[in-house]
Amino acid sequence: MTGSAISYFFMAWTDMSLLFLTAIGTFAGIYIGAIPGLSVTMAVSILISFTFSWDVNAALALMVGVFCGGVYGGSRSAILLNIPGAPASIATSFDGFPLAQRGEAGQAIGISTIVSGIGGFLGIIVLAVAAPTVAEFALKFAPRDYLLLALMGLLLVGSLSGESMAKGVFAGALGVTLGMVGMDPMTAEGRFTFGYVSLLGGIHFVVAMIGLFGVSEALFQLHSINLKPVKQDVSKIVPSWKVILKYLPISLRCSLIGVIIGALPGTGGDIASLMAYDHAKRTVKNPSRPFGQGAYEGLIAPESANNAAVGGAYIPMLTLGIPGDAVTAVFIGALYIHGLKPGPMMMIDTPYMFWFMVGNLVLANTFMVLFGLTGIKIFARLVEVKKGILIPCIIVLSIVGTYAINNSMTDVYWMLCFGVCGYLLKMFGYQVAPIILGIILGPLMDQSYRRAIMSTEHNFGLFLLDLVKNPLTCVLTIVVLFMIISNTRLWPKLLGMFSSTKRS
Amino acid sequence: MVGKKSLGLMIMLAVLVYAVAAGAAGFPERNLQGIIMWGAGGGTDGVSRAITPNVEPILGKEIVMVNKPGGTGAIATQFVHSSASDGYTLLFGAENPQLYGVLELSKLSYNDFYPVNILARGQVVIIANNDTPWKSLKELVADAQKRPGKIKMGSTGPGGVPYVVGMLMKTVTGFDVAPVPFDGDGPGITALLGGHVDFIPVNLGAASEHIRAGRVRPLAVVDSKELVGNGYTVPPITQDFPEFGKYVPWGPFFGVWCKNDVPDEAKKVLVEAFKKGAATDRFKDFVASKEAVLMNISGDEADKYLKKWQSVTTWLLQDAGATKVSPADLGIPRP
Amino acid sequence: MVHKNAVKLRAGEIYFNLLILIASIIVLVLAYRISGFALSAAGTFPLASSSVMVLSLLMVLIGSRKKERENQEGFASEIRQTIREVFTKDFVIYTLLLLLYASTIEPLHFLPTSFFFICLSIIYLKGSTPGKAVIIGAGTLACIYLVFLYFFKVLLP
Repeated sequence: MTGSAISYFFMAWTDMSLLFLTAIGTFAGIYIGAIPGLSVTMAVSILISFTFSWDVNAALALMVGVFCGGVYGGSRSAILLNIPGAPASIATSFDGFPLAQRGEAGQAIGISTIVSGIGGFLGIIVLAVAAPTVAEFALKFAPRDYLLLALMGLLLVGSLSGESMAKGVFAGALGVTLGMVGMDPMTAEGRFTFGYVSLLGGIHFVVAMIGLFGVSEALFQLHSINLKPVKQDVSKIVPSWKVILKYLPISLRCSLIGVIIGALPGTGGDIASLMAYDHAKRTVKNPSRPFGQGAYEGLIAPESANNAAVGGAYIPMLTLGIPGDAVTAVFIGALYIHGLKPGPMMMIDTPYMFWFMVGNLVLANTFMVLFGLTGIKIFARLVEVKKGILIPCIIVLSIVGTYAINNSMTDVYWMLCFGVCGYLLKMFGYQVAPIILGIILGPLMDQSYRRAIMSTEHNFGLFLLDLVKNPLTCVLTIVVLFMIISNTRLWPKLLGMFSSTKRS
Repeated sequence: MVGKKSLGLMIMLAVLVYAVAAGAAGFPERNLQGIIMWGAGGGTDGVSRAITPNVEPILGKEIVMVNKPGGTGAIATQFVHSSASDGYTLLFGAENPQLYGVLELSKLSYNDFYPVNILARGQVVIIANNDTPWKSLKELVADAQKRPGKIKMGSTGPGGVPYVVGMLMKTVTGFDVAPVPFDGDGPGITALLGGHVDFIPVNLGAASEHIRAGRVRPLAVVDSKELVGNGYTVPPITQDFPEFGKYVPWGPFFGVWCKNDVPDEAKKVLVEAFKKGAATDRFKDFVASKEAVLMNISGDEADKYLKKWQSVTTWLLQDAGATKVSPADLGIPRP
Repeated sequence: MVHKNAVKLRAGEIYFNLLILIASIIVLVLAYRISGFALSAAGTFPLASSSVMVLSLLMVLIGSRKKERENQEGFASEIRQTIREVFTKDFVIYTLLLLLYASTIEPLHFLPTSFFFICLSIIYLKGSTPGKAVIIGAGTLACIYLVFLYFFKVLLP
């Protein structure tokens, strides 16, 4: 049994065609991930038809490659252009783009590749060693726990608001409100739809992301159109061992966050990377530079977490047949088409599939690091392209990318509207990142809250009691309370009191 | 200058001739577009992507699949309805449009489309968390009557399978449970496994592996016949409550539609291609692995099925007080 | 990040804030009309989030009373400065070009409109010479065509 497990683990490594397919998939994935609007979910769905007549192992090898490469690839455009290629790399742009503006795009990509690899491998290790345990743990998360998780994510607004907290809170609330547009999935009522069927689907957060980051950034750059682009230093791209070791602890901590958030069936890499960024911002006392101005810690945290979330998302898929995120949902569909039955019996009926997929993930991750570290010099030069050429290309790409999400022109108009509004908000000192945060987390909060209330017979008192009764929920509640208090002015006072009593 | 103009004319002429020739050769002369009304990874998405590779070789053209989710498929339905009536745009959908009228989501329903093929229908089972004491549906209903509003039922938004079956159970047994809506079968079962709800009616395809693994307990199948699954059997819902008899079998269905006014010639080609595609072993195996029932019906037969389904379901929701518009106002006859 | 002088109020900032406050109040009213006050209904979260929008903007406005204005020469002068700094010539023309582009995609098909858009804007933004602009436009669109239409089968309008 163990012998065959090992042979399946190395199957993709020894079979030349599988090795080649994984490599192709990873390479293509990096570019799919880097283009905003082209999502890994979309790519994998298309691959289902494409690989219909193939052997299941070959089909999976290609898809796994695309998955790993795609999650990593999003960081490229986030760092170079301030446009996250995928929702999971939103947090990457917070510190990645400032680094590119300082002429350190090469180093930023280099280190993000390495930590993506670290995150990816940690995710796979957890998957291989503790998948059943983690899956059972993930099942314990009740609607109220998702509410608390979303709240934790939303508190990140506090550290993203820029010059004024009130403006940050406004942006976050605006995002939550925008996230509510469309048909309420729980009652089928329209919210802010004014009777239009085309508004029933709501605003896809990638549409908002492309508009607020891509187009508004392009419009903003018009102010400095004649400025010479920053010369990029591309001499030291692969980080030294010393640098890697220095950042290893934070990378591992954030990877762990990524695995757990990824393994939860209701959350994926996007939320994982935001929470990891928040974690880094709270725990790193002396960052290489202040956060938001090009701190390497702010780049490492989300990049470790989103790749670790890949392994995490596999955990419920392989052990229970429950998708850990949108991509694994499509994977499950692919497994059915190839005659496998994903579910709790898959580990028992076809245990070799588990080891094949784990081995394949390791391989894809290795290719991801290899491909990631080659060709950085050419990529970094992208920032040096004249703005007069770059801006039109960004806009056309934004429009195609937006259209590609749902094949809808309505989305394109929304996206442009976000672009112009984002520009105005930026000009008057509002930050756009909290808006995206609100759009992503708002619906999760709304539905989790209502589910939690419905589970307690619409009794608010019982709901509050639930927040402290269950040990897991109680821990989450305490964390949320701590985060809220540490965001207010009360915190320095409390700290002061504590240290003064200690001294006396 | 003149040379350029005449060249352009020639190209136009060539294109025209080609188009006419192709037109004579018959439908389809270019790739088709398939609009899936649910997102990637869902049940409808799975069925749609499993049937198309079987149909493409018969049509001799590709069907380019596009997910257009939103409003339980209302956006995709609207999109296909407003596209050209040439048969090149197909709607891949589930049962949802039959309820748009009573839920006030859209004016459209499958009455506005031609059923190219109703591929399969799903079976619904009521499953309970292993920690609950109930051994049968009767015990569950008795317990619910003893403690009204205390038992948590996994559900979805209006129109979803768990929602409708929940309403059906409420109408027939009169029990009072607390429904907690989730995003679909998958998230609902996840919540059931975690103990956050006590029972849930779901598609058998989503639940069968969990039943087989013994992680959830099946109470009844929404049918009049016993369900014999892979290593387990589930009693019919009519065993404890014969009153369900007039509603069952009830379940979701998946199919392919085109607009009503597509030329008959194109309709014929499509119907034949899908009929053959759905009869392939590959697709049959897929349907069997999803624990669904292959239907492969089209035309009038499918129309009859759709009308009956709509009539039974909308009036069921009406009687449970869950509609915004009465089916009578929409001209749907009572079954 | 955007402005160096966060201590002073930007020209037009107060009016912008008032404008979005009015918009937020409208949103609040719309949110209330979804399901009124309820502990847990479709309208609960929209109502809560739009209330936070209004409250936070009130905080912003109260906070800005203490700040010094960048431009103190009256309303007209402030508006003029705003137009000069925020609604720059480049921004207005480019946004109009963008809107024209987006609205012609559907009737005229994606590829030709995008080609003209790229060429025109590269020339307008002085990114390159007209000749090169045509080459860049064609190259970009060729890439987009290959990736989106050929591999991803996105049916562009």
